[in-house]
Amino acid sequence: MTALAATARYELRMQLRKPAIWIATGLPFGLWALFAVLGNDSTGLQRHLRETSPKVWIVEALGWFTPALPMVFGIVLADRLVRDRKLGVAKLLDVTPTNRSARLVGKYLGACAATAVPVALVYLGVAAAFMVWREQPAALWWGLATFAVIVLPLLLLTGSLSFLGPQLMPTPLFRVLIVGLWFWAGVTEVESEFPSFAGTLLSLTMDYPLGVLFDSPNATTGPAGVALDFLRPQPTTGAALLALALILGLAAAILAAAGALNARTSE
Amino acid sequence: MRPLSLWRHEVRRAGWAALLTPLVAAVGLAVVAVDGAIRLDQSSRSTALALQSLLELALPLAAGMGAANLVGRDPAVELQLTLPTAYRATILRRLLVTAGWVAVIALTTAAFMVASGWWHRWPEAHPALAGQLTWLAPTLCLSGLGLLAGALSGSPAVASIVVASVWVFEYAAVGPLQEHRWSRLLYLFATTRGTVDQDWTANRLTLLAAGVAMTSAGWLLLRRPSRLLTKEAE
Repeated sequence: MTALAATARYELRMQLRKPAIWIATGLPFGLWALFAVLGNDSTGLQRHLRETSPKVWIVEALGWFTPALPMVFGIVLADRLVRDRKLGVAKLLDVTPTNRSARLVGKYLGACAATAVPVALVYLGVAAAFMVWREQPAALWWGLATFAVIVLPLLLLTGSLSFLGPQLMPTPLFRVLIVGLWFWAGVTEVESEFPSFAGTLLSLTMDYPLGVLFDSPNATTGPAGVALDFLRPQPTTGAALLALALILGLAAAILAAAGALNARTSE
Repeated sequence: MRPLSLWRHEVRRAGWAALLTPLVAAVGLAVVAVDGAIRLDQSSRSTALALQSLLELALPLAAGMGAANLVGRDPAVELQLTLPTAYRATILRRLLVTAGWVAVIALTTAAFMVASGWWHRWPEAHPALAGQLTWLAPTLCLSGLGLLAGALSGSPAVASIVVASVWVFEYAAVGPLQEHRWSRLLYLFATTRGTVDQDWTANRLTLLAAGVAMTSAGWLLLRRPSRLLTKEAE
């Protein structure tokens, strides 16, 4: 437990000092703001300025920023595990009397927590601004709920992928593939008939939790009459919870695979 | 023979990641096109769009990400900086290797499309020769952006985020970006995701100019070796 906590704490503090994670979140947020400013009356800033519902403000106004986050997480976290090996630190850590799995999980949790901090500040900032502007404290709760239910599961899934992927292929290739994966499992049009995870329980744009729990009009849910429709049940609360469970379970399974591969490579 | 062996060395230094990435991106889109044409029996227009997207979306992204990973990954940069050859010249050679490989794949694909007739089945396609700007302009622009972001940050992660974010933003914000002339001129996907027809040539030339300007700016920034030594280790 000590090794896990110490590794997580070190990784968190070390990463928070890196400008990379702040820039990596700040840039997509800046582009999202530009998107809102450039948009026309029905999609842009004017519409958001007229909005009085805290839920709509948090879920829809951040509607472009949030779905892009898996890509950001994947690229930022891609080198976390392989970096230790490249710098020669992994062998040193291996001779310490600590459990390798505990170190891996600690590193994973610390890296994910550090990556979550700038995004949490964005949500907090947007919710606080709305709270002051519209005098609606509920904005803080909606911000917290969206962050916990949408952002964190995505972070845990892409974080585990980033611990496994770069062990199987070079990091630059993984960074391109995570953009491709995000595109295939989130942005592909469901009606295109090409088999994809878009609009499924495993969608990287979190369609079921967003659609069912937050009534987001941007989410695509329900059977579409195309391939992989068994992963597109009717949008119910159960389906949304199942989507969350599947994503968290998949994250745990991928992290376990990353741990096993890491142990095998180190031997 | 020395220059040839130098280039061979740079190809090896770029590694199979740099060579494999555009191939994987191209094969991915080609599979979508073939699947659509054979299994789904979709219209030839949709298949032609997938092939044009291979040229205008997938390959420039691979080139940009390759350029973003050039600065900050060398394990012996201190040693490199002691050599008579400027390190920025080495970086530029590697940029030529990665972008050149993308150009080879793009030209091969374009030649196949022209010879098989798929090129002209996309209504917005331009004549074959000028049409090469479909991939050349965004490839040069994103490569320049990747190099500049890498030179500014010294971090492949940050440079990759810059390239990927701009790519995704341009893909997602197609509507708002078509509403202003300045954003239409800077739009990366003018052939496949639409722009005002008479803007196409101006758009491509603007992207080429932006690519050259960003590559030059990156080159100038890399002039000072201290920039490379003070960055965080990747």
